[in-house]
Amino acid sequence: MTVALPHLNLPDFEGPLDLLLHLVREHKVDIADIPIVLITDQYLSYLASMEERNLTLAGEFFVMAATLLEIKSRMLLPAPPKDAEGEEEGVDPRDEIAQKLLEYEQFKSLVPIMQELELERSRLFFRAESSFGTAYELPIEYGSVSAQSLLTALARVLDRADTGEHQVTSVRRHRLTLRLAMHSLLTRVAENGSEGLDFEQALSEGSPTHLDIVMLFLALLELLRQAMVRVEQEAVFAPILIFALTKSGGSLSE
Amino acid sequence: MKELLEAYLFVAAEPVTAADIAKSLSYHPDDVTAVLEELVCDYIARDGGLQIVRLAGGYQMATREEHAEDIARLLDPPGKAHRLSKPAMETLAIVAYRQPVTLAELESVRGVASDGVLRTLLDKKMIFEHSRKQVPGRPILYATTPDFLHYFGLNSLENLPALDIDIADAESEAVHEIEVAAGLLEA
Repeated sequence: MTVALPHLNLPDFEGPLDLLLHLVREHKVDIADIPIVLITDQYLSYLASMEERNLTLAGEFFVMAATLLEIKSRMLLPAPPKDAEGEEEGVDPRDEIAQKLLEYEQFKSLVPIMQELELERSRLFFRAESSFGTAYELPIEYGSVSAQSLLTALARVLDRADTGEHQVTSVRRHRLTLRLAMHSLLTRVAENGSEGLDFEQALSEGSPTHLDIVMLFLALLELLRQAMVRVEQEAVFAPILIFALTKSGGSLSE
Repeated sequence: MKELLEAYLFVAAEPVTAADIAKSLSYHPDDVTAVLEELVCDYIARDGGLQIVRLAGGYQMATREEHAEDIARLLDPPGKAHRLSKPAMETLAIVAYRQPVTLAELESVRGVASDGVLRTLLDKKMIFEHSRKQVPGRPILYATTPDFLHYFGLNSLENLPALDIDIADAESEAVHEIEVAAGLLEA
């Protein structure tokens, strides 16, 4: 049997339901009463033509083909003997697919409506974001330090790091763990007591490498997270001071 | 208060809600709404270049539709002209009417894999991860954002065009829930 191929463009079909809906609509038949043999044949020849043109088809198209074939074969089988007249007639195997098609069609029909709304709304213009506010980098509140200012300070230190000349006599593997860094930072903070430890100073002691600085920075963040220290900055660009927080009067050592 | 609210509408880059204004300035929300509505009418009566529109549950100052083309021409580079694709629109429609909805439920309606489209919609902030469905695997439930309402010029989800079948009815309770969540998000 040869079935005339409808004129189709693959990109127009979002998926098997879309294609099926197109075929059903093309024949102007009721979704609830799909001529399953005809539609299945057309659907399959569409898939075949796509393969001929070497177009890859998504797996869903084949799942639908299998479903259609199953429905078709079930419809070809003689109907189970009916009980008394008017008794339950058995479910039409096409019901499920019809239900799906109806549901899909409903949402598909919303697309042009939503496109209309989209177009309408696009004819309105609003004040653009950030014509005020964030563009100026408003000063941060005194006494509180934003992540950004910590980061700026870190960048300043990193700029200075690794710039001096080091005489390399031997290369040792330098191990600095986060735990170690946290401990040394906490010790130094405790030493400074109520004066507070200058964050940048802490990072520049000795001749730290990038790794040292990064570890100390991580250590600071971790200590902040665990609420073991607090940081203060009196004004923008003022030194960031780290203070020890004694939890319920507990000691700082471990 | 009217002058103040007009000024606020002028500087606000997003829809402003009566509830937020009332909270910040300790007014009664109904009074604020009344004044905002008055402003809407004032702007219509004034017949100038601006209007105040009800969008995504709030009020926002906008240009008038008549000037759309010329404003677009004046804004250089022109505002984002690209529109949502058909698949994206279709998927968004399903999320909007069925929310909160899982990827699997979405794909079952569309009959086609939709994770890519979903990703796009998430990136465009049209939808968000609302919660997890309390079933095995705890799949993510997606819902629309206030940005979605704004993008389509809707004030609330109730402004969505009605569906012909009664799907909407069964879902209306869920929709209400979402609106509450959307309101929270906006805050």
